[in-house]
Amino acid sequence: MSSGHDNEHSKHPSTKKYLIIAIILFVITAIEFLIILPESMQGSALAFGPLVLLSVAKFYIVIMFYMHLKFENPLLTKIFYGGLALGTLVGIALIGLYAGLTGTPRDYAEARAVPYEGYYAEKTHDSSTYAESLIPTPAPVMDSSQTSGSTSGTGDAVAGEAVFTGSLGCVGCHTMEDLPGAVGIVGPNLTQIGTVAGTRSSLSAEDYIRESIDAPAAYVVEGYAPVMPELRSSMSDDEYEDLVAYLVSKK
Amino acid sequence: MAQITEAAHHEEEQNCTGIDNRKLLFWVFLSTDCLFFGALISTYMVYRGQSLVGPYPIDILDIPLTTISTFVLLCSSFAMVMALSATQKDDIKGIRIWLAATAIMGMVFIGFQIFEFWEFAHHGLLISTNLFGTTFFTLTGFHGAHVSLGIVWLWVLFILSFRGKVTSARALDVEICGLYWHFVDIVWIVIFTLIYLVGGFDAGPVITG
Repeated sequence: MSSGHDNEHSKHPSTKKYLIIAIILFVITAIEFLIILPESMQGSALAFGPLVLLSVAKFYIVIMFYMHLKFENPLLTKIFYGGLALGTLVGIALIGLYAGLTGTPRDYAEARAVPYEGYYAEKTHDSSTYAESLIPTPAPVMDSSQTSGSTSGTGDAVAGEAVFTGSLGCVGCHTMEDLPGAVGIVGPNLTQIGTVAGTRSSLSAEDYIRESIDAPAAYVVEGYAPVMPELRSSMSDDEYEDLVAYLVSKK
Repeated sequence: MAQITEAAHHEEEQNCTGIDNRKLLFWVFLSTDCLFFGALISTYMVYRGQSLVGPYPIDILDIPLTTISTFVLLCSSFAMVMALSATQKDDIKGIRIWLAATAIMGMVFIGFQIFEFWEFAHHGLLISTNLFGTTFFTLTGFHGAHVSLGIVWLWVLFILSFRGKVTSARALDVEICGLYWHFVDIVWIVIFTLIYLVGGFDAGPVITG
């Protein structure tokens, strides 16, 4: 028994070898760090391959030498690789499954995500470009030179004002500074919603307003509670178009 | 009674595979732990880029700092193999020094992680903030829990070394602890690459645009 023990030990790497392995691991980590140092490589697909290869190399070195898998009964390697392969395959399957949904969740996120005035944002991005990036490029069509009840849709802004002040109760929660009585503060101030709407999400001003009425919870302005009721079904199609036209005209 | 169990302990318990029972069991455990972390890492990757509100990874991940803590963890793996090698040589001083060194480096790593979590919370990223926060804290939190358990294990061995219970005859105790420690290290190798180096520059959609 003890002779077998000694034999096993002699197969293990020496201190010097361990040290060399440690240095190799250090060097690989340093290379990984250097790869992503240039800004052009940060988050690029070009960096992905080398980074994964290098970490696989590190992974292999640690399990083979530090965990002695190279010097053990091959059964242990099979057991470990079995779990590793299963875990990796489950991961690939999961990611593939989601990617297979034609990227729907990601598109959704891209359309709705709110810009974050990050702590590091000023550091990592030139402040002027960052400020510009906060305002999505306006959709080229429609709503650029819109006046009361003209262009897009079929709505009439004058009739829309009546809808806004009417039985739906918009004014109970929203302020419209040129309308007496519209002084609610539960929801955002809509005095200039025709302009503001275009900056909220990546949707155009009109689409954003439509979304806010159709699905109030899709985008909730920061600082406000998601309490706006679904009112689309409480108005006729004409009333809806008029209301949208009215809100778009409030620049 | 205690002596009987002690004696039983000394013998390498083998089965038809010729591998010590405890070592075999431990590798099976590590194999299943691969599935555990595989699930958490895949979840992170599936939900990458789907957060609707900030902070996003680029706003908050500190890659240079994490590279330092990665170095510390790699270093601790080296200390761990030295501890095992000292045990096999019955070098009691070496055993104590290297076990303590491994545990202390693990604690430094955890210190970095606590600092990181605290910073994130300070900048508004909590586990409930967005998908990034949820998947990130779940994954790195469970890794941190693994490291913490390893630290406790190492200190226990350290204390046992003063009672003369860490000897070459029982080197397997140290070896298995080492297997666990190195496993935690390789999991971090994967996390560091995928979450920090590859995914660390994910920004909110508008900023990238």
